[in-house]
Amino acid sequence: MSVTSNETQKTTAAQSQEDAIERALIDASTKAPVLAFFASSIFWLLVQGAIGTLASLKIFWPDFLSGCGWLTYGRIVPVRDNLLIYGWAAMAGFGTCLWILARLCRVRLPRPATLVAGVALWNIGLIVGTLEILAGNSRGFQYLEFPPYVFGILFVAYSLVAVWGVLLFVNRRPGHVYISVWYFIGALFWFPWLVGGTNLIVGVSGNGIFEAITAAWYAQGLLTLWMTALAVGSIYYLVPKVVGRPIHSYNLASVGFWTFAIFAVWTGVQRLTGGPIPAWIITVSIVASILLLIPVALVTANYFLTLRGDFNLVYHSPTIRFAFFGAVAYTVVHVLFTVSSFRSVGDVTASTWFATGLDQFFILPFYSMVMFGAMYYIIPRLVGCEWLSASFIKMHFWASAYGFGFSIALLLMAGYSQGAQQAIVAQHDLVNVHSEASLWYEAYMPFLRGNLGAQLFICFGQVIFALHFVLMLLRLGRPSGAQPTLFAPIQEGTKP
Amino acid sequence: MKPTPLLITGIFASFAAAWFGLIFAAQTQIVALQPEVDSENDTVYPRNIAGITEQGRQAYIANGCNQCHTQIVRDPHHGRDIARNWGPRRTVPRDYLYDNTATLGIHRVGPDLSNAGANTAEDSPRKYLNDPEWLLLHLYNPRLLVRDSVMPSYRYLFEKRKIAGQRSVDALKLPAEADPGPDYEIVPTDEAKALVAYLRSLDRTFPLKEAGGAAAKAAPAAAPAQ
Repeated sequence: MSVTSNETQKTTAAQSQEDAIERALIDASTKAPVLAFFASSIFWLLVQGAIGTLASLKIFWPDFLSGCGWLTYGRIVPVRDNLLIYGWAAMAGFGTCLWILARLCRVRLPRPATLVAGVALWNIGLIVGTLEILAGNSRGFQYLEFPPYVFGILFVAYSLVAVWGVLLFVNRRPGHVYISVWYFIGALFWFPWLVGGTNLIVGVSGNGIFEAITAAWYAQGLLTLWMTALAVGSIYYLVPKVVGRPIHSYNLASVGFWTFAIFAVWTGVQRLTGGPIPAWIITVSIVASILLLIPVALVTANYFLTLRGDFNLVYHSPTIRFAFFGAVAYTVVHVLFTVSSFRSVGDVTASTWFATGLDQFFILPFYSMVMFGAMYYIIPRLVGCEWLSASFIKMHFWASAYGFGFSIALLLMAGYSQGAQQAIVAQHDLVNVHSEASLWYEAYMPFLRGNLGAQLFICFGQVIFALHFVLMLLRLGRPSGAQPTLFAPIQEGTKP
Repeated sequence: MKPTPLLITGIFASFAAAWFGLIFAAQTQIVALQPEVDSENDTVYPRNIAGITEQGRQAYIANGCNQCHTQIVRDPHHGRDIARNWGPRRTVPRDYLYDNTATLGIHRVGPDLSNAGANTAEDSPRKYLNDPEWLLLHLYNPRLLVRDSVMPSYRYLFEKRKIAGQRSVDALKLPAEADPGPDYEIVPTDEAKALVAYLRSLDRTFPLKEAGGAAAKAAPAAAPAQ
């Protein structure tokens, strides 16, 4: 089997006029829907950032805006989470997935206008869902707070994405199926099964704990299965593209994909460690999360071997810097996920801020950084100009890197401290409710204070990114045809 | 070689295997659970939730109480829940037979509420969790009762009214610093009252066999439920 890809060879070889025209035609067909997905995703990223900051403020200032039920902490937190997942992450992922699929399958996207309608419908679903949660019609299960009919709207909108994605795949040019395509096809199939299957059970079956198990499996599946597939598929595209070499080992990639597909679906129920769940289910999920380290190791090895000799690109190329950050976070978050699955650790961290921190670790430093990298690569090819300012990209990178890093480290520490404090609180004289509460709060509040600062920093980075994106939409970038916007010029003539 | 059928089949099969092995298998085990009948005391546990308690449960979910409060008591090998007097025994799947398990909760920013309503004994250290006056005042402004509380005020579940004639029997007995003024009173809405009724109904102390049975009943922390 050939281990090279047509796509990656092209970047190094002198590209024929014909290929360039073909790519231009493909990009013209994907332009409207992909930009619509990106614009919406960045919009929701800002909205959820603002809501998240308000939620963090309310922890320190619980009387702030407390006269209004629509803005109570218990409602805005699920709004923040759902907009982060279904607003930012899903829409960024769909856009990236469709664009890369069209490029790799070398097919023009048919009827892009219909897909733009799908984007609009998805946005309508998000708005309605947000209002429902704020109005107090949440279902209460984590990441499933939208009422069922809202998931119906999202499902219809999503089916357009899936059908279009599969159409691209089915009509692809004959030849080798690139590894990114495997991950994207997986993501396109798994998402509706996760969403559909779960929504037919939760709130419908009327069978208490069974619903809790399904909801936990779903929440983790969104992160470990679906988002991971989208992000890993994107890195498999971006790294070889920018480096100008095919991925190091196709066999590693293949084994990595299949072990991932087999093990990732079984994880998730350890979110309820120690809870009223039959013990075997949690054990199965723990074992699966340990086995999940196999694909993580294989994929990580493959990235590093592909990048070998070109690590300087992490310094020069924005796309590679973001993707590399995401790839490292991918490894770290999975190791952390497995370690915290062990019962000895889970007993301390269950139901604490640690769980929040771990979820955000999946979504922000891993998934989001990869998506930022993909956007920095894709958007210039769609709008026809290069990013205006390397400094803007630099600010976005460092604000995100430090912000995500500090925010999550503090949440994880807050959770661990909270879990460790339970022994001290347990020995306390329970009659004094004041000091019991204070003992409990002081375990995590200092960390949350730091987290608020980190969040403001993150928001700053995302605002810069959004501004930069708007400039690109207005075609106020640098003229295309010049070198792509880099952090520093590359000396040895490698063309990112 | 045609990789397409293999790819699609593999993607489907790996997902289906996990679905059946995890979700379907769990369903077959849990759907078989039945309430326990205590013929000695002529009681059935758990009971379905209905009426004002159900309205309260809906309010609990609508206002996102489960973001910060769990309803899980872990066994002593997996945490200090019992030492913290959150219940006499661990909770098991049967406790939630008729429950909307969104109430299991996500976080423990505040205390666990699995057995809030079980604190009926006069000497129970958490007696306040079964005291309607305390609960209402705490919902209105937690910091009136717990100095450092980070719980939001649920002022929107209360109504500030001009006193017309006699004071309402429901009116909160507020301390001087929160007094709404001489002619005004703060009255809980139906939603607040339902929420309190729900919290007071939370009692998972019944000595289920799989949770230790009679041993749990004899545990020192157990507050006998009426």
